[in-house]
Parts: sequence; structure tokens; C-alpha cells
Amino acid sequence: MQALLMFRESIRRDLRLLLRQGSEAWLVLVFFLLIASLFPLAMEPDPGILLAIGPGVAWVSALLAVLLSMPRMFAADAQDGSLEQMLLQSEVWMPVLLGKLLAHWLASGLPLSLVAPFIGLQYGLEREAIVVLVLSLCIGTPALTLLGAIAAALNLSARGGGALLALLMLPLCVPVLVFGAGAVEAQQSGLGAQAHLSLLAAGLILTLVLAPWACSTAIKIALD
Amino acid sequence: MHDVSFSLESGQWLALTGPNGSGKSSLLRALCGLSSFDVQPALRYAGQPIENLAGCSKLRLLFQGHASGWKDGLTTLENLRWQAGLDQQGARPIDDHDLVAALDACGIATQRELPFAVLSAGQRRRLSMSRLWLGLRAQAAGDEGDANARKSCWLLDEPTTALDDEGQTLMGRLLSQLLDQGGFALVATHVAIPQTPPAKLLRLRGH
Repeated sequence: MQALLMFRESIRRDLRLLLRQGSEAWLVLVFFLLIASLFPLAMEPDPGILLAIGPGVAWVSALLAVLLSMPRMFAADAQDGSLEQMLLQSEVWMPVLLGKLLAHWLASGLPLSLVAPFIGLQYGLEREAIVVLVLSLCIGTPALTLLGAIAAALNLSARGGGALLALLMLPLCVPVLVFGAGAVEAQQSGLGAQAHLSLLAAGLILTLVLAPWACSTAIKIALD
Repeated sequence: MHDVSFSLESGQWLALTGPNGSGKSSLLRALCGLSSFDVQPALRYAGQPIENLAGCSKLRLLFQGHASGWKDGLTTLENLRWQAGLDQQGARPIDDHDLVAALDACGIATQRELPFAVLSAGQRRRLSMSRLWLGLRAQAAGDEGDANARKSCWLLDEPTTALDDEGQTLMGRLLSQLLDQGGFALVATHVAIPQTPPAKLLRLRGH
């Protein structure tokens, strides 16, 4: 009951802060669309090639967009002292942290997954493939956010190294990328996406169990 | 800093003084468990050894450090609502009337819809005092219900900087009320806080 109340309040607080920043919230979305749209311009406009690289490009763009949104995950709260106030209330710290993670995904990963059909159309994907793309992003981006949050929390003690964050986060995200893009490709080749999506969901569950704990530990070390 | 030792009874407060850099803030942070001691000291509460104050389930800890924890992007009222919820660990939903009463008691009720970013340094301190005011009220409400209610323990780092005379007096009154309720306080301060009962003094030496 206590935990649930603070979980909800935490989501509300973070969403309010993210939406008030305005430009920041849009930036992730625009960046995602922009990166994915650059490839057809730079390459030979052959429908066959576009169809083949579409899922991969969409997923790499999503990964980069999530990466772009990660530095602000804990940095501002650490700087103005609100993070230490949350940490001090040990009984509700976990729900508050989970709320922050969910709020961050709601403002970055979710809208990004929802506009993915535009990318799909751009690359000439079939309707079933587009559905699988959106589905795989919906399952995969929370995992990316969770993995990115670990890197962002570790990065707090390193102070201002955005490059370090990328180095920490990108290798961790490779499995998500492989199964996410693989799901769409499997659908395209007629194998069905279920196996890939199941593995992706298993990955999400694994990160959901481990990442909050890792984040919490990293934040405690960073504030020391 | 070494060879520091002190004890507090219910209703007493400790004034922590010493030159800049003598470790007042570090001591407060370490006591509430935000940073670690080089050598873990023997901390006790009611005879029981404890690791730090935040980990002690019999205390209602309220820490106010250098960084206040207020968000520039939220309004005064939203800031206080969040922090009060956190301080009471979500025990019950926070009533807006209580929040406005707290802001009013500290003289910033008219600023309640303004973003925190536009408040002056003194007004920011007053918002921090509203938090203490709500802490007192929550403690009073909690005491009614059960005899083993958790005691309030405030760790304040220079709570009177940037405050005018009237604000400092208000701070003193809040502190007195806490002590009347049987709470504790550790306050790092360079100046005497008006209208408070005499404090135990702990003076940290510089290096």
C-alpha cells in the first residue's frame, strides 16, 4: 500500500518533470526518426536492400535514441539532492526507483515504439512485419532502458562522461538488439517471430529482476 | 576527524560547530548513512547498536543537507507534496490543506503555484522549514495512535543561512517544538538559533 502509493507518486513526479522540459521529451523521438530516415538517403534506393536492412536500422536507431535519453536519468536528481532524500527513506526507495525507471520508459521507449510504423513504411516492410517491429520494440525498449539505467547509475560517480555511458551500455544491449531485429527478420522470412519475441521477453524479465538492484547499489556508491 | 563522542537524550539537541572544512557536513551525512565512515564508530540507539540513523526503524529521520532536494521544474506546492510523501514513506496520501497550512506557517503560501526556480534564497529555506513543520504535524498525529511511535530525528546542515530575523526565530520555534515532542536534533550551525533551549555543544577542530 505504502509502496504502491510512492510508486505512483514517483511516476507522476518524473513524468511531470520530463514533460515540463518539453524539448527533451521530443528530442528522443525526433532523433529516432531522423537516424532511421538518413539511411535511405545515403544508400542506393533499391527496395530490396531497404527491405533487408529495415529491421536492423530501426532497432539500431532505437538503441541510439534510448542511449541519448539516458544521461538525464539520475544526473539532475543527484545534483540537487533529491536522489539522496529518496535513498534515505529505505522502506520506499525501491518503489520510488522502479517508478523513475517506468516513467523514463513511458517518456522515451514507449512513444518511440509507437512511431516505429513510420520507419517500417519507409523501408517497405509488410504489415505483419511492422506489427512484429512494434511488438519487439515494446518488449525490447524497457530492457534497453533498464540496462541504460545501470550504466547511468555507474556513470554518476564518474561525473560527466557521456562517452563512458555509451561504452558501458552498448555491449550490454547487444543481445536485445540481436533478438529484437531478429524477430522482424524471422517474420519476413516466414519463420514466425514467436521464438525471438519469447527470448526478448525472457531478457526483459531477467533485466527487470537484476537491473533495479544493480542501479540501487551503483547509486549508493556514487552518493558516498 | 577522530575521537568524536556524544550522546543525546530525548528532547535534547546538539549544536555542531567548527571552522569551515572541519567535517560538520561529512559527519551528518555519515550519521544518516549516505556516506561511510573510515572506521565504523559504535553507534547506539536506546542501547541497541545501529549501523546508521536511516537504517534505524525506531527513528523518523529527516535530513536537510547542502543540496535541498527541491526540483526547479516543480512548483513550491508540488515539491512539498513529493517530499512530504517521501518523509512519511507513503503512509497516507498527503492532504493539500496540510501542505498549504505548512507553507502559510512559513510565510510562502502566496508562492505555492510558482516554480521553485524563481524563489529567493530565503524563500527556499522557508520551503525547507515547511517540510519540518509537516514533520512535526505527522509526528504529533503518529503519537496519538500508539505509544511506541517512532521518534523524530532531524539532521540539519546550517538551517538558518539566508533567513531573515523572523525566519531564524521561526526555525528556532520549530526546533523547540520538536524537542517538546521528545525528538532529537543535530544541527550544524555557525550562529546561535534564537528561541531554542540550550544545546549540547560539539566543536569540531579544523585540520
